[in-house]
Amino acid sequence: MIRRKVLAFLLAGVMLTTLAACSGNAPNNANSSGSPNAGTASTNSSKDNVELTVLSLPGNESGVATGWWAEEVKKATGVTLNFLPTGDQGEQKLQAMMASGSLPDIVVFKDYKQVQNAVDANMLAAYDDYKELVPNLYANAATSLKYYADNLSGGKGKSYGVGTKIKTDPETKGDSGPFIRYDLYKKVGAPPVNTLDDLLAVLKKMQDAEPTNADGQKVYGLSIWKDWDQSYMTMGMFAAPYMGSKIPDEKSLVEIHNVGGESKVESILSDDSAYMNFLHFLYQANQMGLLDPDSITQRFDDAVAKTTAGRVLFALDGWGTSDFSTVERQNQGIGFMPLPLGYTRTRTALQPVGVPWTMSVSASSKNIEKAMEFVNWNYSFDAARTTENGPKGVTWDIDANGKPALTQKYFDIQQHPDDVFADGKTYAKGASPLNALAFWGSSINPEDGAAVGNVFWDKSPYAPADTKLRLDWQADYGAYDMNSYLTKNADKTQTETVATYPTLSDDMVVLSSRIGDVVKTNSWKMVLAKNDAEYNELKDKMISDADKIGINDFVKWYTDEYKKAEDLAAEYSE
Amino acid sequence: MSSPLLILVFVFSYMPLYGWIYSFYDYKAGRDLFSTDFVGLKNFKMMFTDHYAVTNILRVMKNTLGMSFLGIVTSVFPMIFAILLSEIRNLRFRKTIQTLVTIPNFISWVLVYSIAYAMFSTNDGLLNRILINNGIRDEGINFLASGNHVWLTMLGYGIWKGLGWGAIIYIAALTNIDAEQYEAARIDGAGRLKMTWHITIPGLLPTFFVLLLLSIGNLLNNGMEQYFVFQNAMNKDSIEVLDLYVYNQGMVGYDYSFATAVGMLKSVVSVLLLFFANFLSKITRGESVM
Repeated sequence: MIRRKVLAFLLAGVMLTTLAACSGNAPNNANSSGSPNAGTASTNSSKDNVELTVLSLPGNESGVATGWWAEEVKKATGVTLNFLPTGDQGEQKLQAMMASGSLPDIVVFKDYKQVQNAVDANMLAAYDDYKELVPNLYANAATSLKYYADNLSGGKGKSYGVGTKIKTDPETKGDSGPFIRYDLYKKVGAPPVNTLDDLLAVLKKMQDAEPTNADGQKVYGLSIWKDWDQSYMTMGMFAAPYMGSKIPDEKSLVEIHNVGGESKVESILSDDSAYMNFLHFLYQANQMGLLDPDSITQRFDDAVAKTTAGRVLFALDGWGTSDFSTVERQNQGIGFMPLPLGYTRTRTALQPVGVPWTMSVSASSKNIEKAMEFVNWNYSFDAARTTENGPKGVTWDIDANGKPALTQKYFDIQQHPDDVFADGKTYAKGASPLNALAFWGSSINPEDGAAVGNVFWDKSPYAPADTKLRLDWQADYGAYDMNSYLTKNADKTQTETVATYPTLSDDMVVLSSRIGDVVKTNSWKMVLAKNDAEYNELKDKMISDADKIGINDFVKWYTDEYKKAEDLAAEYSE
Repeated sequence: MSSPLLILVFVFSYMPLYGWIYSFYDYKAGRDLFSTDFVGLKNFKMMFTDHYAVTNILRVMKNTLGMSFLGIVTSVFPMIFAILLSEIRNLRFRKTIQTLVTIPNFISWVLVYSIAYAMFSTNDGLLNRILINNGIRDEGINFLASGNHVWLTMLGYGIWKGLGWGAIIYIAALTNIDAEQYEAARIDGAGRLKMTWHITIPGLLPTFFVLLLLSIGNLLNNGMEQYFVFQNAMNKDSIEVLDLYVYNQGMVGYDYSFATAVGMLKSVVSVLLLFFANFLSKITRGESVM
């Protein structure tokens, strides 16, 4: 008898261990549409403060938002935002929530496939059903809404999401990566960087010139991380545009090359692809002691902290570089500046639809009206300017000519970045954790004809002179900043033909992930390989395994779909 | 009398088996199961025919069984620790040791990783700093990104975390051993070692085997978190156990149905381990639990 019981108990234990997917409740939202009682709902509710939960896949911070941005949101909409942690597990978290049948109040997706899945599962609220609550959205992002209704509504013809970083005007100013420690670059003679080998050589010289930071900690040429890896080493996606191609998103194993207005899709594993070149670059960097050996084990935050502490000499994007390049340092000629590489540089096309990072409201939200109010606020030009430049009336304001202008306060903050700005936080720490600006900085507000971002505004008369570092850079390149340099040197740039990408099918997502398992593991191994023989062996293995699993099927599928996306994009770009 | 228990067993042990149905559908998160395609045994066929899947499953099975086996082999450690602890005469010292060794049990694996990162990272890790500052090495060793001896290092973390906790029941069991036996042995001239060997250990063995059988269930239940936080490209080949593989396939790879099918394999592993433990019990004590 006892034996039986033990057996039953143990068997029960065995069965518990099996992957038990819970059946979940079907989302009770089939008729979330109806006609919401917009008028009363918004007037009553906007007085009391409501906490909304947000899952922002592009975001990197979690917890209840505090600081000046959160204060502005609360003031304007009566909403407090509570961010769920995403980090390197955001996609998995989204999957788990999808399986459980409900999403947080506001979701920022990272690609169209995620949006499509949520729409298919009836988990999103349609903006069309709440038109009265989101007038700004319809006024300022109509093209994007139409794109979502036409292409990402599962045939329902409603907009369940809206693109972010909508770019309707070309950018001619501003800085974009890659960034290099310009003071050290100058110190070693500022040799032109035409190839990746040149870059390695110069980074080596720079590292030798400053082997440790002020605290005696070791300095590395570059420090990377694996947090965002999905189907390949995501750092390659950030490096590709500097080498003249574009990897569309973290799941797509293709590179798009734009030559003479024609686009060509090829595998990221093909010979001489930007991705493979970048892997070899990282491998050599590691051999030369330039790559931070903790790259494979650390998190994004660790790497940013290192950059801020002056332990990193080169960064693909601005992560942590501005925290190091304070105005004080820049005036001493120290800091990061963009490095024009000798490659043809790919620039993004105009994006009237926005990038695939998509803002949606959950159908299961208990405060849909409030969430809509927040989205509506976010898609006003005032809010976009606030998110980008600080609170209106404090760091910027509309001047006598009816144009936006930075205030003295803005420049004071730049001089004293560590001072508490609002809500117990510094200006930088109080910025939006959403990481999904509605409009690109260069987009023009039709009301006053000025752009969203302050780099595009007229310079205030009391603005301090440019820092010594920037003046040095300007003298060296004969341009105000990186984008004006690229605009001047149009022969060095190539603009991609379209700004919209295919939505992966279910089969392709699974295929990409199966190939990705091989690609990302072997990519990291290649980077850390001991010698050329091991590197080549791993490379051959990665390519042959990816071939066997079917990367060519993926590339072929993507090539066909990309052609369709090109035609589609033409429709939405006027 | 036993019906509440039976109901519990049914609810928590048999109802979840419903989840196995997902392996027969092409399930996508968020959609209603029955609105997705019924694919029959496709996922099971793939497990045994797709070259890539087969090699991976064999690899993770090897890792799972290997690490589980190491776990079983070292499951005597808490018993040994408890015995050694009981030999300490100074009560305060004994309690201090016991507390210190038990604390790691309450630290989550995520934190264990942070501690490991602080200790072993190449740049700022304590160990590498000591090595470099004393001139033993020029460059730090990247312990966390090494594929060498992963099974042993994982075992090490496991022991560090679980030793004190595992010893608690043995410490309780020690007090249950009849003190008269020791007195009789002492009169017969037995030393401390003899008493341990002939009285303490046999007295603890029944507890050991019960715990062993329970821990085998738990090995597979809790087997993922540790490997999940420590996995990276360099050690993935040896660290990926079945649970982690199922997670990686299902949650990271968007292939729930295949992951469910692979998850069923866990039952196979569990039954194998169970029989192994039962066999051990039989040859060492002459009685089996089943």
